[in-house]
Amino acid sequence: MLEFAFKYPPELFARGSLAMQWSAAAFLVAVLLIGALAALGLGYAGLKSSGRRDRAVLWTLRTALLALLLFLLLDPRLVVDTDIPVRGHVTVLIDDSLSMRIRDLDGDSRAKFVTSTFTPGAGSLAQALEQRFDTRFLRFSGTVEALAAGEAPEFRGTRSDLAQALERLARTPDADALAAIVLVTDGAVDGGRARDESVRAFRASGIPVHAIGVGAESAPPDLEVRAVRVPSRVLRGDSVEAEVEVVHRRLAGRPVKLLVEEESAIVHEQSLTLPIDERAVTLRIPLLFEHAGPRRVVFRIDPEPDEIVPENNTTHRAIDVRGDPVRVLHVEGEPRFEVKFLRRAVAADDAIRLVSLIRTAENKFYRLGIDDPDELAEGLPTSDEALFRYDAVVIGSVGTDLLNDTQQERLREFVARRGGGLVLLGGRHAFAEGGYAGSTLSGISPVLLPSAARAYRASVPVRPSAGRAGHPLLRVVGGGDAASPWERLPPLTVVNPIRQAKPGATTVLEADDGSGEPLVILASQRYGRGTVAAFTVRDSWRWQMHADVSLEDQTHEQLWRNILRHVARPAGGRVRLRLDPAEAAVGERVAVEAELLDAAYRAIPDPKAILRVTTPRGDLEPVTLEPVLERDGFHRASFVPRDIGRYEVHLELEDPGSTPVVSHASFEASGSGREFHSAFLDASRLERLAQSTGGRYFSAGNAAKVVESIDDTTARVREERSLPLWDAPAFLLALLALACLEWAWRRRRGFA
Amino acid sequence: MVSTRNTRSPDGKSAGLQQKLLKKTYACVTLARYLLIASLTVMSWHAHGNGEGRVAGEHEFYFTRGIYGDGGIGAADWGPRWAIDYPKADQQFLVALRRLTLVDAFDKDNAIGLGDPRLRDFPFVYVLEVGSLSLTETEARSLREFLLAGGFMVIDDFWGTWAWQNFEEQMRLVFPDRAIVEVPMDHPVFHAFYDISKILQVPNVHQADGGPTWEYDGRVPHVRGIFDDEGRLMVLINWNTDLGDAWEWADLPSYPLRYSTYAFEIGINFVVYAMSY
Repeated sequence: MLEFAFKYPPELFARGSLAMQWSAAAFLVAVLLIGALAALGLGYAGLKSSGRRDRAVLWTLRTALLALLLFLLLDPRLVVDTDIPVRGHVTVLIDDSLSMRIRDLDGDSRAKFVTSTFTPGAGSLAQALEQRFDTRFLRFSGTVEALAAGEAPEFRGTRSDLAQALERLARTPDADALAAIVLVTDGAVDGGRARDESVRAFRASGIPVHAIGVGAESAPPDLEVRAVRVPSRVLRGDSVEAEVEVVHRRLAGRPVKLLVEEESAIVHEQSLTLPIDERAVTLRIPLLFEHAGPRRVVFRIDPEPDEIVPENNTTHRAIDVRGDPVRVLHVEGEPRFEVKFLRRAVAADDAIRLVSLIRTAENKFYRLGIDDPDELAEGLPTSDEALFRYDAVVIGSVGTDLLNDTQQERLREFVARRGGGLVLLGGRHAFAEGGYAGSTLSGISPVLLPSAARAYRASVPVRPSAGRAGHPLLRVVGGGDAASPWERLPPLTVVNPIRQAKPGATTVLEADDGSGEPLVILASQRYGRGTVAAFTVRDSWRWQMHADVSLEDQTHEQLWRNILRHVARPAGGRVRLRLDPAEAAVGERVAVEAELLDAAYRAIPDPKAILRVTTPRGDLEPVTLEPVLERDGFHRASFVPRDIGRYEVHLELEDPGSTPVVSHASFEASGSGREFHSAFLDASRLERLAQSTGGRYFSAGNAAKVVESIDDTTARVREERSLPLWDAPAFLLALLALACLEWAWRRRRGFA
Repeated sequence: MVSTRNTRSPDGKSAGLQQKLLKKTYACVTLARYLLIASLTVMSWHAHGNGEGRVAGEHEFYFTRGIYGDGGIGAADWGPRWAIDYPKADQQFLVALRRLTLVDAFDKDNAIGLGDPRLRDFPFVYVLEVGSLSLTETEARSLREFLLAGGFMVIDDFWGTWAWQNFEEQMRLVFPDRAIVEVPMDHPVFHAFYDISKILQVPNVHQADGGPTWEYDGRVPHVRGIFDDEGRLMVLINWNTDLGDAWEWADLPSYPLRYSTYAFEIGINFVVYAMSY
């Protein structure tokens, strides 16, 4: 009934929207009608011969009639999106990367198989597809390009960016007519999360992806340095541990040797026997960076004689070693021997510059290690600029009378925004005993403070927490057994009983005071961009002074250097550079992201900065920085490396009234990038990809079946339809009804 | 109050007798004063004990007095030489330190043998009367390790050439190759809390109310030091001066304020420096 009255079914009205089709003529008529309505109103108002009730009824009926007429003259329409079936096309997406050159198909390369089967207009399967469907051919690596008839891929790409290829397909003008995708690849695709998101998007679109896995089903013998985890920025003198992941196939039991080279000199060798079960082996390699500047570190294992892919036996990393010392401010609310012994502990470390501020009397401060007479002249820094010049802050026994709410909030910003490090030391005016329970400082602390202070003092032996003896913070000189140095050390005094670290914190040292619940001695956590550590003892200096500790023992010194380096290391400067990817290939675009900040570490509205890229040949390549509109303070540039070797990126930010702020980063451009890593056929990954989109997986041997698997190329194109409503019967009936009602009223009242 | 000033009478004979009598009286009073001081010192040392009540780690700072294997001159009469002015000087210095600074100091004296391993629990040690110092091999080794580990030693109250020679000889047992040098006035130890611009000779209590302020041939006061390899003071030597007496007798109304003030000021500087460098 409703459908008869309004021409279209109700569900169409539910998902559609109403729109008017304006035209000049309709507009003119509408104006005339509104004029007529006004004249009508005036006419009825001046009609004295009839009663008020009659005038009201007649005016209402006539006005409704004219209003409905006006509505119909404006050409009302129902606008709905409708899927229309069309003949779709098939896109063949061919992996054009270097890994397709691997010869693991009975001595032939993957590339040969693809060329013979999928070259448009020439390959056997390409022809079969073209005969049945409207077929297009694209090759993808770091870029996506169409293949013309007779054009074979070159297999030169240094990446296999499937995510980018899928996104590109989704953006093509006739993407709606895409009925199926045939993906020809070895499965060694990159993209990570982006790839997964693109696949999910395709799954939602209902376009099936049929995957053809090219490569040996049973991988040949291979050894691979798959991953290296090492900080990209370190301090001079840092001793860091690189985690190197080694995997192999069919080389179980072979003895191999991992060589680590820094600037072409071998700095470490580690032998290992490859495991039986082909699981990944993680090696922990100690690295000591003694020289400032960009350093190139290569991790490699010499190829075994039966390996066919030697390229993945090597991984390299570019590491920037900070040359200028980090500045650390140590604040004490009272004179303490910790000041003396902390200064002595780091005195020989020229990567750490320690400034001490000691409140010696109520309104008196003693400053040590300052650069100029004005530094800290008024005590604690009173502005962001003054505090943010330090890379880390150590807060000792400082009560809340000195470190008030404003100062604590500034410290929080120092850690969260500036990325500074913070160390909270034990003491009679520290933690809950210093009145910090529930404070801003307790909010950023890695430990949970008791709700109230309590009188407590214990002399306790300190030990590494379970499984933490090898933690980088505890890497101290003193014998091979990591636990033994700690057992030789005398007990320390604790006056702040803290027994719980926060969930995100790592506790590396603890102590047993006999209560059944250990005391947290050293814990740290990330907070915003920075790091906060809590070292809850009162007198770490006993590890230097005590009669049981030999003069040669360096545990105290090394531990303090570790703590200060640990918290200060992430503290970036006012110019922060990031390169993506970190390991690039020649020809692959490298993005440079730069964050430019003022002395208070806030975004500079209109910075004056110069970015230069030095190529391996020593040439300077100017690159223009463009602001990133959606992120304050961020700027972006990109360039394409053309030579193999180290590229150095140098950014200079003008600082009004001061010397320019400089930052640099570097990366290694290689011939193949990461292309030969994880380059063997990953059939299970391709199967998952195909199944999740409704497609099917085929090995190279069964590739011909893909033609039969595409049985329906009908695609549905979404179209916006505008349906006229002016001629709906309901409106005509309404017009008639209004006219009749007026006539009937006039007749009844004797006006007609 | 005893006056040493002569009074003349018309009769020269009786005046001479009167002078003799006065001299005898003065000698008796002086002897009595010495005996009183000595007995009080010994009594208070015995009464107080040897660092009784201290618990290492309870406070940040302990004013530690170094006990050394005595045998020096006068040991039999005055008690051990290391215990001169002990413990009152230590306690009175601590009163001033706690009153004038924020140092969390143990309020009692704390005497420990220089050869005692527990000395390493207290990185500040005060040693005096080193003119008669005679270190055993154990004490010398212990002291060397204490200082190299980061300990700080203040030497006080020894006078004249012979005392210096003995002290120098004893320090050679501790550090055979380290020189003893004059500490310049712009050194941080003179400015850590108070600005000290001049080294004052602080006399012992008996000489504080007039007359010469020195003993033996120690006419010029010196502040000398032994430095570690990084240029930090390890041993601070107050030669030809007696800070301990100024601390001990600061509550004596007749003790000159300028000496006690100076002694407290420089003593506080020593503590703040010792806790900072």
